[in-house]
Amino acid sequence: MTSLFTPRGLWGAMTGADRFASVAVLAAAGALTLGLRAPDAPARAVVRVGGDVIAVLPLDHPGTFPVQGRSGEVVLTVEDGGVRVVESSCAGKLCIAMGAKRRPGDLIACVPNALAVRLEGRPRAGDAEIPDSVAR
Amino acid sequence: MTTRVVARLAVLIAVAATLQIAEGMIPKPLPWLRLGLANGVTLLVIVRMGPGAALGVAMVRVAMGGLVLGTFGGPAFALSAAGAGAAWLAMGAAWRWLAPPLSLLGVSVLGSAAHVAGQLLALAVLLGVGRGVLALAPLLAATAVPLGLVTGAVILSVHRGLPPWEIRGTLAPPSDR
Repeated sequence: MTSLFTPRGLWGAMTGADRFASVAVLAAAGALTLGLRAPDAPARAVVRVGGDVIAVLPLDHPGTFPVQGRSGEVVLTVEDGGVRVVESSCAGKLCIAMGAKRRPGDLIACVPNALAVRLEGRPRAGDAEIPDSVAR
Repeated sequence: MTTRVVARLAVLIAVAATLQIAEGMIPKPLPWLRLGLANGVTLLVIVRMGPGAALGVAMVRVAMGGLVLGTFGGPAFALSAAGAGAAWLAMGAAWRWLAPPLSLLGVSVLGSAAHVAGQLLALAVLLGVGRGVLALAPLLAATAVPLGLVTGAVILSVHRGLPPWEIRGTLAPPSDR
């Protein structure tokens, strides 16, 4: 029997249903990628802790913003039309590793701090009124 | 339950908890990626001892990991439990009703994908971002396939290499060894 730990050996050990299941999961990932594409530029970063909005940062106003998370302080930086976490009280620092986010719908999560930063792109009421057909 | 089964479950929980804790310490190119060997132990127990024992091993392992890592009761712990629970449900159901035609490898891929889905669902609830978590889904779902396959390959090798286990006090049919 060939080794399971070579690509050919692993492929050979898979049944047709195994291959179908693997391709189906990959296809779902691809479909989600295409379905989530949003071409308009994001307008602001909405910061939530435990689901409550604690700050809304316009992305055209660069700056450094300390916020209070569940387990300590998290420092956000807005620059170049994007947002990122530069410091966090959490242990894993995955939020920092996620880097800068620039597209609408993008999400930075810091689980120990119950913190989520989501980029939202649609104009708010009172913003310049641009119909979707034009904005896209 | 015989003493032998109790001892076996204890060893499996210890192995799973150790793998869970160790995986968090290994440097990785993308820090949120995990191979999922702790979930692989869940799969091994599903295959060899049934889904009930597997749920017990998975939940005690998650609790031990939370206590050792200091996340017990917090959001990261809820995420860990949601992922482990979803993976158990998917792998248990797939092994019961879809294998064959699925082999242990395909069941592992489905478990890996369910682990991601469970974690994203927990994130959506905990962080209040709802469908916003879908932004993280494509990368996680795509990596779930190779990671699930590698975990499945490891568990398949272990399963083939181990002698049969007694279940509920009765010895499994004698093997060649």
